[in-house]
Amino acid sequence: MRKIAVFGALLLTACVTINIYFPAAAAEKAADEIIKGIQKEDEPEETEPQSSLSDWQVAVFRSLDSVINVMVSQARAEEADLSINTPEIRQIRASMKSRFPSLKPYYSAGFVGIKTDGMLAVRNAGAVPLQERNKVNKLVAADNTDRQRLYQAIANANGHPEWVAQIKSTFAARWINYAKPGWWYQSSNGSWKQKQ
Amino acid sequence: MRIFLAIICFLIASPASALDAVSAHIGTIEAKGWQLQGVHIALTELAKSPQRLVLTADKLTLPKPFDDLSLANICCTDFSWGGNAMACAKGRAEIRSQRWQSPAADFSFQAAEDRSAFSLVNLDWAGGRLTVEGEEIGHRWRLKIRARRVDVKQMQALIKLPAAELKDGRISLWLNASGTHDSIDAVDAAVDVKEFSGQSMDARFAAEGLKLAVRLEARRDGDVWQWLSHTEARGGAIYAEPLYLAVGTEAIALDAQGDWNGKTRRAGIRSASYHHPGAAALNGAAVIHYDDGVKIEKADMTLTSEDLAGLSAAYLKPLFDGTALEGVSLEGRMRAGFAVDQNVLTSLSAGFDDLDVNDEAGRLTLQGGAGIINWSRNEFSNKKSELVWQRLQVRALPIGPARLSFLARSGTLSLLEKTKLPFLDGVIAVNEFKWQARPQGEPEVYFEGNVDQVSLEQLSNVLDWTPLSGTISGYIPGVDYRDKTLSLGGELNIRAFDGEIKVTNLASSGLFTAFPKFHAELEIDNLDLEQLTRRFEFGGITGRLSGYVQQLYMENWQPVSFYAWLGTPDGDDSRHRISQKAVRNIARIGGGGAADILSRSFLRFFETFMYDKIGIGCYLHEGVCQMMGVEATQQGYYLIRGGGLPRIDVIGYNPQVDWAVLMERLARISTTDEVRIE
Repeated sequence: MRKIAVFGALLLTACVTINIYFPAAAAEKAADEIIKGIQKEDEPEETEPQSSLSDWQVAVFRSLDSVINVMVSQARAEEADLSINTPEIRQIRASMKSRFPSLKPYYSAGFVGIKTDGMLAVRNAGAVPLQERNKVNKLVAADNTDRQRLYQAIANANGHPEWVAQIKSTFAARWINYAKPGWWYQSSNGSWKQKQ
Repeated sequence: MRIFLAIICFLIASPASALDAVSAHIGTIEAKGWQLQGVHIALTELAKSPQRLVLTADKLTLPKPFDDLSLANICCTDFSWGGNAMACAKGRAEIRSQRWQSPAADFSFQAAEDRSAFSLVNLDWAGGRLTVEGEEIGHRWRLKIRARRVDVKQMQALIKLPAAELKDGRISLWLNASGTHDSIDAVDAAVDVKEFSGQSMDARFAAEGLKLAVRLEARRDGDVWQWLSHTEARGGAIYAEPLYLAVGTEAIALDAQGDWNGKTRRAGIRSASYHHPGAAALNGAAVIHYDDGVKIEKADMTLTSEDLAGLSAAYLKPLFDGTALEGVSLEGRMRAGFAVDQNVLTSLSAGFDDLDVNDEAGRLTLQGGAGIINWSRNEFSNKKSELVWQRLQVRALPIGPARLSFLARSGTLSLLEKTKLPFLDGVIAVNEFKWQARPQGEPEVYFEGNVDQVSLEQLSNVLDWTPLSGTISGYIPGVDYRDKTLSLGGELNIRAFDGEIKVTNLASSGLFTAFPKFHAELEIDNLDLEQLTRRFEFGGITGRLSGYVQQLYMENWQPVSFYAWLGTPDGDDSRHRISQKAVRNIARIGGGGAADILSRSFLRFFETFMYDKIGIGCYLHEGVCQMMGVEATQQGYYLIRGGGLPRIDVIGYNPQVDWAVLMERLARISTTDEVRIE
């Protein structure tokens, strides 16, 4: 009887709880990478010099190679803990990136602002010129749909669909952080502020 | 006329030596809903004949339906009272209503046994002038309102319109209404709006500089109203989400007539005609039921557009914005008819002429289109549809003139005749095509056709590739649509460079979105390297090349993953020689490992070298290419394994190369015209 009790106690102490905590830092890093990617505007392509190869160029090539290799392996080693590389996420990112140039002037004009939850809002619909009003509404609605899909896709891609709310709130702070000077965002008390 | 007099105070004689005036203070006078409160009547100029009766009162309230209005601080200098009648032929009073009040205005009223009337004239109100006249004879009443150039901004302040922000503009109103008791039997109204700017609080409806004229006539017969209206926008702009209409030099007009029953909540539009010059005309009839939302019980409409560009800019663009059709516009002429029954489209017939379809994103272009599309919900309908075009372009791929004859009914679309689409000197033959929508689940697609002798040279040209030569042919026995992915069965055979490239398992999703995806498998068999390298400025190589690209997956036209191998086929007995330039280029792809050796050694004196095998492979995954060669060495892999003398081996040492870097190197090769050998 005592043996059973001891065994029972052992069993109790052997219970291990595994908590999976939300990887906040990794989520922030993923958010940074995604937001920067969306807001990055394409730079003009550099023209490649057309010249023959000399020895020193070959040497440069070789060293470039090794540097690239190092970079490749480093990049892989430091890969974010959150996976953001699925076809669905790439698709949403591409969609948001292609929409950004259209949204940008409306951010700057103050028609579109970032809400506390990181979603977009038409701040003062009445001030938007009639001709552009529908476009602004549609852009905001489409971007908000993409944002919500993006958060769910990231949560799903990492095997934790329940993380969506935390991912959304991580992104919310990062969207505001990456707002350019002159853009409007909503502070935690609900008032609108202009980014300095 | 029943008049209740509550006389509080009566004759007050003046202390003057001669009596020249008498006055009475009367609490309230009531008659048929009229009520005068705080009444004071004075008889003045007693010495003269006739004497003058002056009435002052604190307030006059009116019977329904005028009960919102009342007069205050009434002073009537021409008042008569007697014989069951009370009249004020000339008076001044202030108007009070729940929402506004006015400065004093001229008024008159009559209250008799069989007739009561009032009028307010030249009332300054909200920057404009207002005249109101009311009359009641027996149980019937009539009301006349004339408002001239009322300032909407001031009006907004006075009547505090909810859910709207009026910024600018003037409104003139002309209204005649009549009725019995508290019901209205007839309304005639005309509203003229000038330079109106304003919007609803939710900003979903707005106007700017709008010039609008509305005329409405309505008569009630029992529970049913018969109505007739004419609306004309003569200038300015209107926004009614999602539409934005800028009125041009010609007015946009809407004429309609019908009936309306408030009890059954049903409105019948016997005829409606909407005319937007330069865009479209819509005519038809409809029955609408509104209870829990609006339901179109029945509608028969025709839509005519002599200028689809105008229709497209004004009506389609706002609907397309933010959808997959964004940037798509039309030109040409159209006449369409459609019928709706219980909120469901039952038939549609649209004829087109000189149709051009343009897409800013360059996905689809159609020119010189014409034909008629007949669709019916009836699954036994046999009305044929036909569409012809002079030119159709799907992304960069041009399709020549063709005629499609098909049947569109219920949830199916089926081709009636075999169709040949001219495509890059060859033909895409569609022998059979059927599309069937499934209410539950994805549509079924049946397709059978073949691709015949399509010029690879032209294809490479339109796709802006390095010019290739050869042809593409193939048989496509079926098409499968699943998980939003269109998959082609069968195989496409590309004859090029004296060899063959076989494309199988071709599948695509989101072809017309901003993010198309492709899947395919390629088998490359026995290409002549000499022909191939000549095309690519890569540097001459003779021999043969075979290989494969397995599980190729592309997103947005960029490869995301594949497993590829290209190299000398086993047992190849062709002549294997490779030029100095090609060696260098292969070395550069692999990472430049051999190029310096070549330059420094005596080998630089040789134009070409013998080789045993060449080969390169890549397993692309997450942006990194895992490189492979002909054979593994201790530290790397052979890209070229030499044979004979002088012998040259090119060995790659980098097992992984970033895909973007690899592409950049290949691009550099094709832009470098010559390689100098020192």
